[in-house]
Amino acid sequence: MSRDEETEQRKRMDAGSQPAGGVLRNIELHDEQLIRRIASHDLQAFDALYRSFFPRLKRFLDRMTHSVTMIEEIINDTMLVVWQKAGTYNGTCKVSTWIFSIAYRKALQALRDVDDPVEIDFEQVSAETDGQPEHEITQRQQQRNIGRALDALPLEQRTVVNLTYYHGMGYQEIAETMDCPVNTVKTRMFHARKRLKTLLSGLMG
Amino acid sequence: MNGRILAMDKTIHEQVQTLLPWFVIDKLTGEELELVNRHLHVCEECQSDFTWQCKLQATPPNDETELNVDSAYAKLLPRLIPT
Repeated sequence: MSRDEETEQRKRMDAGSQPAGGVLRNIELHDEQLIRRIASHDLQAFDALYRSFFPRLKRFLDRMTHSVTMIEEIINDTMLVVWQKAGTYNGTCKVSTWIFSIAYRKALQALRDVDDPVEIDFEQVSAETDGQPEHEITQRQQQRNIGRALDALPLEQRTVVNLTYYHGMGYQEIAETMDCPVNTVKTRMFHARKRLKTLLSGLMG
Repeated sequence: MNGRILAMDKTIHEQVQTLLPWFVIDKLTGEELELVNRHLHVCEECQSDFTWQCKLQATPPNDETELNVDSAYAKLLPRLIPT
């Protein structure tokens, strides 16, 4: 794969869509090469990995924290661990799973330290389309409604939904990221879908 | 006999319901993939659920925060001291 093609694929991943299997494997191999170079304190490799993961981590953490300051801190704390511990990466999971698991732990830690839980206004999920026929609901409104419905889920369920649909992770990868059994991932997803269907009823066909 | 078949169908339906999100994102392989493919042909509930989940996946929520990669990276750089 050429440099331009890879850049294009990464842009698509940043936007939330998943590339085909072969392309994905190339990106994974490239990430592994970067990690090996970072283990030798290659700053250029770190720069490339940082810029490649920044948009994905931002999207992931956005749904967890909704705080610009917190997101930036968590990304930097996560990538600092990557810089310091790249030599311990043993290839038993994907580089992305390893980095997301660090970010998830850092985010949980940061949220525990904040004594100010975000209150979600459930009513706003439906208020967004009041009096509007379903066919007139714009894509942007739909995205906002889905965002609000997601925010109404417990953090663990929201994370499973986010990692599955919007980061393309399999249940095994999510279990590794969240450090929990696969069955817990599946149960969280089951309950999340049930709740989302209720919250989004009438807003999605 | 019919009761046993119905119970078996129910078990398959529940298994497929559990696996559907990862079918939607094309992450299933082997027996799991076959199971879902077979069941989807005969189960309207799962078909409708599949369509719903595809819409959900195709509509990623908006990013609500603006962050600049260069300024974030500039803040991290001083912390990257070789150990």
